[in-house]
Amino acid sequence: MRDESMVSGLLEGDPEVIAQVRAWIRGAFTPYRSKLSSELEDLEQEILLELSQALRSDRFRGQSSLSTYTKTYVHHKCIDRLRALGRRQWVQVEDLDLRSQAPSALEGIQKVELATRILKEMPESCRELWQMLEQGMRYREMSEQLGVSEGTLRARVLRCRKGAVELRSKLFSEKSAKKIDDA
Amino acid sequence: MTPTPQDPACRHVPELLPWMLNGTLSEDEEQFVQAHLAECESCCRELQETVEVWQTATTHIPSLALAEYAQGLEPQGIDRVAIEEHLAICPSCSQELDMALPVAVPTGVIDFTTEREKREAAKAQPWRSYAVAASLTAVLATGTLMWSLTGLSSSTVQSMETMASQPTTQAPQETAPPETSAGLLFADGFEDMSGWTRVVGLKEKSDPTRN
Repeated sequence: MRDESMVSGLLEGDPEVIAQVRAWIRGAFTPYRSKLSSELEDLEQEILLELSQALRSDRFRGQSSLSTYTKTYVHHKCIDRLRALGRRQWVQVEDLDLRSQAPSALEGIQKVELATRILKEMPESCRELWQMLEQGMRYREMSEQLGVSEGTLRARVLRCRKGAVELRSKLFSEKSAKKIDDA
Repeated sequence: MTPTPQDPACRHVPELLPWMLNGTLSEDEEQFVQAHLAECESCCRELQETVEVWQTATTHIPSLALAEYAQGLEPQGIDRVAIEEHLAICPSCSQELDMALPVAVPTGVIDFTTEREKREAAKAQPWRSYAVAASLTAVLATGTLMWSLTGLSSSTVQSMETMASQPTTQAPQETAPPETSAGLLFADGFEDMSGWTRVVGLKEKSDPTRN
């Protein structure tokens, strides 16, 4: 069945088309079954609904097949869900009473690019510490894994943090200077 | 009491801030840190810096762009070079990419043979075919010779020719003992051997037409 027919069929609620799309969704779930087993049923419904909304608002331009578009959307939702599960223990930064709430000067791609540059220039040992923190490890677990005392570990993380702050300021000023020069 | 720079809490609290952000401090530690932050400007600035670095360290490729990249599509909002630079230093994005890559769908038949085994089998195949064809040709030739020498019934020769012409993978059909005519050798019996028929013994019947 051609994609145009499938899109109309999906929007009209054609059971055959819906079954085919569900099969694509379930197929794309395979790598996530062990980590998202209890979430997949809800995710399937969510994806089907959002897909229909996207098709209704012409967001599917036909640059890829409907099957690829569907699978891409599934992976996007599953990765998002995995990340959310990984963050569920974190403190919400918005809830912190930060004295200076300076807005981020960078958004989207610029944020990713700056973050990547900082992480690249950071010593690998520091990068590993932040990765362990991101995974939700306690300082006791980290010190055992790294074979250092808790005091040494905390001091190390503090030094890494200060190094990263300097790096961030340096790259930020370089970026601002470049913008001024370009202007 | 306003903490002073020499306050021991001001040395201890900044060290605990990353673990406060990842939510793994104990209840007591959490209360201690929060209480101190409420009173100490200097440690609040430390928190601000820790949050900035934390946000940097936890910034990843947007999930939609990563999924598009994995599916071979043009990622929206971020170029491939930026994605690839990030993937080079981020194990978690690399793992997510691995999960999002398309996989070949199995057809239901799982072939465990290695490439080497396939090559060796291909080399051996002709030899086996030639050997079996040669054996059957010999049987046919023998049957024909025997027929010409002893006058075996045409049905016997026919069944032998049938055996020779059958494909090598197919076990020949079990045939009934051949009809005999006077003075001809005939099969004493047939023995089934795993789907193959073996002629068991040959004995001569008196031929009244012979002198």
